[in-house]
Amino acid sequence: MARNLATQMAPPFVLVAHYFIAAAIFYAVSAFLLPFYANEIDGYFLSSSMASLIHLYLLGFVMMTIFGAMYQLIPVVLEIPVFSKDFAYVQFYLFLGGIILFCFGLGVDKYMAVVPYGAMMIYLSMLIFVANIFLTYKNLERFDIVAKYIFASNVFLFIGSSVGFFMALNLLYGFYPDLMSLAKIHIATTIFGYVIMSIMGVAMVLLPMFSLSHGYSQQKIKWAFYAIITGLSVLLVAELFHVSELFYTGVALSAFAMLLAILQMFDIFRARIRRQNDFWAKNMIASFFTLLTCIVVFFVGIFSSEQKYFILFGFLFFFGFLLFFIVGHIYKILPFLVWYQRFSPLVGKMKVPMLNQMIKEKQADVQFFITFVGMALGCVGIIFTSYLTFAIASVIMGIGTLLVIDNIYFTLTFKPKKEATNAQ
Amino acid sequence: MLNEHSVIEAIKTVIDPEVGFDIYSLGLIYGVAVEDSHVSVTMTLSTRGCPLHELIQTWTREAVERLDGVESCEVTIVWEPAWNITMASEEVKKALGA
Repeated sequence: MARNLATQMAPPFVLVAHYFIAAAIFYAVSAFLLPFYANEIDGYFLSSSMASLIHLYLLGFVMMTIFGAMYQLIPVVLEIPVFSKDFAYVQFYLFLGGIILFCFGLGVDKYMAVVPYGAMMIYLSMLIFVANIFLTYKNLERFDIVAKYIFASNVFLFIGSSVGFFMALNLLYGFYPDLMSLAKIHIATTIFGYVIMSIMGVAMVLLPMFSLSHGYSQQKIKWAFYAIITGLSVLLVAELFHVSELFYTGVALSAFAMLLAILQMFDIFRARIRRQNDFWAKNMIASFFTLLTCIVVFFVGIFSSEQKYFILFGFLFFFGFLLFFIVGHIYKILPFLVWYQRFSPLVGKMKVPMLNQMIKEKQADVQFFITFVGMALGCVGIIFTSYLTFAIASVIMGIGTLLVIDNIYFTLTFKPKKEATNAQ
Repeated sequence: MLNEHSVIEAIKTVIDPEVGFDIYSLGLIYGVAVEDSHVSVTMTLSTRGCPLHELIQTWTREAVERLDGVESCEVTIVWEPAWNITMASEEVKKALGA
């Protein structure tokens, strides 16, 4: 019965819009700040100012988008309604306030004391989200590979956010000396455990849906699931018990899982019926190509022990892989949400716009090109430690951001042309 | 006059807003049966997790029920045989680059 209720079970548009609009604002702020971090490209990747920008981008843009998208996608991919929409609203406001406090405290030294308060709000918001997801799973009928990914990713989110909260308290009270181990566990569980696993799971629904792919095997993504769970678990044990050999085993297994996921996405793309390389397809190809590059760069960093490769890895991962994946899907999901809210009741009564008319397609193409050039130039800046090159690259990427924001505004306020609204 | 042809013409007014083609040309309609004033439509969707699932089903039913002589229309979604591009019209295949 649940199978044909995907849209009835979906949350109200206004809920998802909260998350998406806040995410767009955080994206714009992060892009604006990026050029000011040019002189940190040869710095320490765990510095508090760097942590401020990374959290602003990761929590404010990436995770805000993922949370909003999850509330919309869970009824579609799991075919069950989200347990509580009220929880989602409470979570949003706690998360929003928490991010502002937390990042402000990390970024401005004299306000460092507010960091634990911001962290507490973020932690509470994440607990609400995780509880909401787990309670949703009580009604799950089909525990397929996508359901497994989303479930496991939320277990990692719980661990990662708990460690993050502990780190924030530790920052102020200093009761635990091994900050590096905590940071590694926090990064592994939140970025690879939550963000990557969520993307791997939902990509198995979104990519075939938007590219009309059929007839491919899911074997690689299934192996990837067990590889990443094992890899991250080994990594946690290695850090908790300080066994460095195990750490590299965990890293290798996690990287192997990501390689399998990339190959799976390649299989889906090979089987696609929709062959046009539109702005979505370009973003997806760039996203997974960048993820592959990230894996290579990470291992170069491990073997060379040069800090700049970890900075390069982070830059490519955040402003390449995640950015392309999220922006590509915002261009697809947002028009659908607006269309569903405003135009679906008019179907059969009036001529309604198509989804592709609700995005400035040419602008999306230009934005993709600009962002890609900016990202590539940013990599050059980091590799050759050129502050100026990196600052120019950041400005170019900022132009790309403005184009994304303009397109989001266009979709949210979309007005069909007169001829498109004439009665049929 | 109500017959399979008129029902199909009505179904052709239902457009998938994502792909931009009507659901008949996409090959999503597997069968149409007219029995007096009752119409049964058997159809599929291009993907199982389609967020438009329930809407497309409703639009199809409403489009058929707007025809003169139709008292009721039942739309059944099936997943076997699974949809593939060979079921679509040549125009759709060409437009999608298939």
